Amino acid sequence: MLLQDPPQALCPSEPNRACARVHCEQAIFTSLPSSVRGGGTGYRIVAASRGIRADQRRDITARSPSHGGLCDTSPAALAMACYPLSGGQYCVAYSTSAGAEHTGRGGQTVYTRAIVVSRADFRRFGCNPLNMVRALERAGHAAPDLAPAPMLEPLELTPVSGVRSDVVAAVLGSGARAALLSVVATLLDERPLIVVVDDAGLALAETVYLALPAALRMRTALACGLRYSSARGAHLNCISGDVARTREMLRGHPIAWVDLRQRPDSEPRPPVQGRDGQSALISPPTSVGGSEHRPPGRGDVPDPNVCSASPVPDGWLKLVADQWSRGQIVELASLTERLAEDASPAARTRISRIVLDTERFSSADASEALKIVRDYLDLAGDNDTEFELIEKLLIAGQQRLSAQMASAEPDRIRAIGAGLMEVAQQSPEATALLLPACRKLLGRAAALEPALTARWAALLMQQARPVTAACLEELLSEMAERLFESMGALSEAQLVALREALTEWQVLPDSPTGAARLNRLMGAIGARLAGFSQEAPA
Amino acid sequence: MSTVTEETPAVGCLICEAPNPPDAAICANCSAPMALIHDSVAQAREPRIISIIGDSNVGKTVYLGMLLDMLARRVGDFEAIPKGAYSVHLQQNVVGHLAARMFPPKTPMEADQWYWAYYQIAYRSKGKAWFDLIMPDMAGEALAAEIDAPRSHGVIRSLLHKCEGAILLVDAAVAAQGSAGPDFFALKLLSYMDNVFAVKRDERVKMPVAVVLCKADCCPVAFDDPRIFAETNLNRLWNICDSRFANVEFFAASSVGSLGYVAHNPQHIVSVPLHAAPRGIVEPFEWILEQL
Repeated sequence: MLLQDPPQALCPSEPNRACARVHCEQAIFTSLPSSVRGGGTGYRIVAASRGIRADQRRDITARSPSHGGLCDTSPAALAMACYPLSGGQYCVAYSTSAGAEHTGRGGQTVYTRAIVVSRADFRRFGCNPLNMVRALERAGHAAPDLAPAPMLEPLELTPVSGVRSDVVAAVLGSGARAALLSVVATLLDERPLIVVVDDAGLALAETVYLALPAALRMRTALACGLRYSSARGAHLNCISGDVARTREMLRGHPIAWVDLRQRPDSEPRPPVQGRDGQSALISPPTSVGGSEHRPPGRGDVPDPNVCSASPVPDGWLKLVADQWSRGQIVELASLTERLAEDASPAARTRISRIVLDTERFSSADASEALKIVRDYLDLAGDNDTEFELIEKLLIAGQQRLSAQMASAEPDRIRAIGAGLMEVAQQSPEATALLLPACRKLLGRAAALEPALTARWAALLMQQARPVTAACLEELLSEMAERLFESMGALSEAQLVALREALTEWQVLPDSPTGAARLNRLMGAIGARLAGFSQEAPA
Repeated sequence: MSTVTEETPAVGCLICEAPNPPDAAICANCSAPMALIHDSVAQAREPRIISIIGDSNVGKTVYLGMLLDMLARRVGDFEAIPKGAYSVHLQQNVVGHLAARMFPPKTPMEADQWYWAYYQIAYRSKGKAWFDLIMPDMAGEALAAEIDAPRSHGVIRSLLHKCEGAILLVDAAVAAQGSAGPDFFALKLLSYMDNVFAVKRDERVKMPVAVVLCKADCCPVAFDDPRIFAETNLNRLWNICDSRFANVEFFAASSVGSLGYVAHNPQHIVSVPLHAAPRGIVEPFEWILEQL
């Protein structure tokens, strides 16, 4: 089930991206009888494609599991490791049992197929190693080949780049969200940790991995379902057995430990070490994750087995917690996949702030929405992703403000409008962005505050003319029409004020329609005022 | 006002000398057990490392387990005291499996899964001084990987660099069948060791090396004259020993008295040790001790 393909691609805007096959070098690390493969015995790379270089062979050999290396000792065992190679490529190694050990010394033969891709090609799998395993499964190469040719052909895999949101949702629904945030926090610090789980931990690893920026994923090593060994150099180690021995091995070393088993055993818990090897028994950051449910038997007290990396909730963690709680799994994966260049804490803070501020629009009132928009108007972002996210934020803000202007209470129009106009005047770009909201404002205000509406329109014209001539033309024309429609109910004083305001319009409609509407408005005002003066007592 | 921070001094690993927290169980760098250094400090004697080396499946685990068990049972006038339970695990594992007519499980490549034995050893009657000996049970695959890519398995290089004697196991049974595999592996291994000790071309490595022709029960001729057997069937090994190693001796050994075979299918036939009958196990070790 876990290895089924995701239902949709992450980047529908690039439909052709997923079609082209990805060239993958491969190697098989296992132990074969000497009758099958001469030249050596024991665990080693028994077959490889031509593109596997010597340094890559060394890395794969050092990190691959040998006899007894899988947590699950049954014939159905599976495990995965993924790690960056010293040459810059990325390796995903999928391990299974391949029958009884051929020397008769007990246990199962461990069979590992390692796939090596470039960083660019790794991105075509959504920077998700599970997607590479899914592609391997789909291509029919996940099962062990116990008589491989010494020289393998490279694999041509069809990339799988979507997200199995059902898998992630199931992990998040297991009640360990706070602990998962601690795992994410530790990985953000690029520190190693052990997560004790009931299975191989592939789903958990995918959940956590998709919460990391892609740039960080490319240098984060995972080992799922493999017995812990420092030789693997994995940051995230998901183990499901050998717990007591692993605890003993880790004694004295600053490696975080998270126990997510549904029924943790009664063994004494190990000392959990934090940064610099000092005690860091910090409760999980429940404050950023909302309400949490612990697995049965965990109790309500903070779990000392959970080590949080950061005592102060990190902005990125808030973002992850927010997206997880909203069920926005695909959105989070899409965001993290795009962050393939800069995953520094500063960049993460900026990105998370933008995204979280974008989310705030859903419940923001007009003044809060205006404040958010004002904060971002002059920001361009440090890279394309930030630029796009800021643009997305501003558009969301504009839409929220438009909605607020359309539904604002009449007695608040003046106050809200003043704020909107103030922000819209910051720059021609601000005017252009907020023009739809301004139109809504002016449309509402025309009947309530005609003179003020005309003044605001004048301000808009002054500001926006250089960059929004076409929009402005339309606005002026529409304003003239709206004011004309509503002037019938105005008093003489209101009409005088309106006429004075209209004379402040320094930019006049160029189009025949706009000019005619304005002329008609001015003429009507003049006629109405003349009527008032005739009606007035001598 | 100043703050004084009291820091606990780090402890250097006995094998690779990397600093570790004082309460660490294994070395963070090479995965050697930190108990080794603690025990050696307690003895106030410089421990000596003897390495059992050889190809995968040659019988290193069985040989070392049998050797330790025989020493613990005072075979050959030896008195041997294990330092800590971890030193007994290996022999218990080997003896237990052989008693159940099974070979012990393969040693994993991962160094943190290896058995290590720390023994104090002395001759009972000769009144000689005590030796502190450390003997790891290395995986043959890890040795092969380190030979192929030097410094990829730092613990092996550190171990070999520090060891004062080596027992090189060679599969005599396979060599007697005409396979060059054991000869080539031994040649590569000794070439690697020559490089580790890095003596000048006109000097030979002085570290004693006992070449043990193991599984000799399958080729009894190896017992008759191990040197002639090696010169005949392991000529490459013989020649490099002659050229580069000043202190080499050849021995033959076997651990099991007779083997049975189980055929799960025509492609999967495994050997079963019917009973343990150690022969020539202690002699190489005794020779090494005499050279130290």
